[in-house]
Amino acid sequence: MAVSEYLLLMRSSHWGDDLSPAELQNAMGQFTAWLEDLTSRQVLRSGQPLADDGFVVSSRKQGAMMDGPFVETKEAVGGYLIFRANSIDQAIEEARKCPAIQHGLVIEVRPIIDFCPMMEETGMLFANPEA
Amino acid sequence: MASVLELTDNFFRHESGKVVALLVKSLGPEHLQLAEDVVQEALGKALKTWPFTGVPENPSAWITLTAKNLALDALRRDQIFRRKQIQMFGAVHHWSGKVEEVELDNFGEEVEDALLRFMFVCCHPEIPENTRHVLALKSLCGFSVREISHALLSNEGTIGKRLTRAKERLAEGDISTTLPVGEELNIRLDGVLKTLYLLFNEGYKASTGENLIREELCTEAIRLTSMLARLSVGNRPRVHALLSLMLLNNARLGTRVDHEGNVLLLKDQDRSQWDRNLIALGLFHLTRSAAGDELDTFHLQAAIAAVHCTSPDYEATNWNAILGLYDHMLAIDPSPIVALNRAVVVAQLQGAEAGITAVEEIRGRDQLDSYYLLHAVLADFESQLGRHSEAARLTEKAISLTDSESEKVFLTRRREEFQAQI
Repeated sequence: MAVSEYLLLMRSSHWGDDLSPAELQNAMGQFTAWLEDLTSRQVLRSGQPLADDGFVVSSRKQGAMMDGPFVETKEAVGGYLIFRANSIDQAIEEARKCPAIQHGLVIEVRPIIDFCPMMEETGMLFANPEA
Repeated sequence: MASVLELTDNFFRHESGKVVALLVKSLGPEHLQLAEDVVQEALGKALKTWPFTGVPENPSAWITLTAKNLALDALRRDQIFRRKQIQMFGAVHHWSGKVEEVELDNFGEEVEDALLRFMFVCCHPEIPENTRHVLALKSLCGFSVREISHALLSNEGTIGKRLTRAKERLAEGDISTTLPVGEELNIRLDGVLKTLYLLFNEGYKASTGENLIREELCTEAIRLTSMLARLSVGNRPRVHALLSLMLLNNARLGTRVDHEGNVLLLKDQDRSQWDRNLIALGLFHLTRSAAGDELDTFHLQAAIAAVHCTSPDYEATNWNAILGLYDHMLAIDPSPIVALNRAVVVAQLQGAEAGITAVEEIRGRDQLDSYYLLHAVLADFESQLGRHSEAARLTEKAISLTDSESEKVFLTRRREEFQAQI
């Protein structure tokens, strides 16, 4: 089966807010252990937390930018992970085991579209990270 | 970078207390709620970044500065900032360096000073007595309302209400973090010691192993009392006496229940399992408590605990010494509960009949009628005299008067033993 990459968006940057300090530390340990296990099995390729501030650039209001922080919204993205998995089912299965979910984290799993063979043939490998 | 899995137990909880204390020292107790909120937010930021980045080199300073910046942001947004700008600038000015610039040594002293001041705020005479230890547990020790209500066998609503009222009182702004001096320090220190003693007792009286958080109350009380005894404000005989009695009793904590969680009496405890290090430390502080001519119930309670802890077995216990200490204690604190304990010692020395007489002679004995231990103690005396049905009846009465599950189990077993002998 072809191995594909998946983008996991960690939504709800407020996860864990209602935990006590001791519970927070415990949750942090569990989350770290989950990441370390994924790394050791080479499922986790990379991942980063995102800062709270930032800007939205769009054409609305004559190109006006909307500035952050965006963390007030429930859907705000607090970080991302890149998984390598055999199928979306496997990626979902791994995400389901994330211990932060029970503390309010929402994970959105999105397949990253593979390279188009036609493009490859034409030599337009402008985005291949392994080239 | 170290992994978060290498952080010591209770790191976040203790950090939370430290940083709240530092913020309260800078911003004033009226901003306690803000201090707690930003510390919680700073810990939340650590939760979301440290699993990726690893633990920063100085995690303590990281949390402090993150919380401080959040507090400043919040105050800037608030009008209060404008009003208090000048005072505040002075207070937080020396923090404004980068994380690496915070010197650990000075930082440690500053933290201790802040914790000490905050301890006196929590135990301020304006805070109701039944709230002081709750406030200390929440803000100084970093427990949540849920954890506190669990530990104090109370409910979240009651605990939450007490905390809200205390914070409202602090928000009025006339309680300062300035340490009292002279005679006022003496009086205020008594309030602090009473709170620490209550904290310890809450943890000690019914911890059965299944409720680990209660044991943490004992550990926290010892941690705070140790700190107090180390600082010049608290380096006093009665502080050492309190610390000594906590350490000596804590040394026996793990042996007070058997493998099934049943309560074990002193005579049935496995003395080889008593914590020798804690006993040695307890005796050290008992020695230090003997300086000067101060003598209060902490000294006497510590001395009684010391007699037990240094006795090789139950039979070798120096009951005469203990009786003398109880007589002393009754002279200082003529409470019927102290007198009841004394009656048990009298029975050890002179037999159960003398014990019953001692109970009858307790001044204010009727105050003990609803106290389960009175009936349990009398039941013991009666059974020693061969009056087993009376012993069973008294034990039944004791069972009906206690809320503690482990005590109920223990007493039920006793009652069955008595009934079997009728």
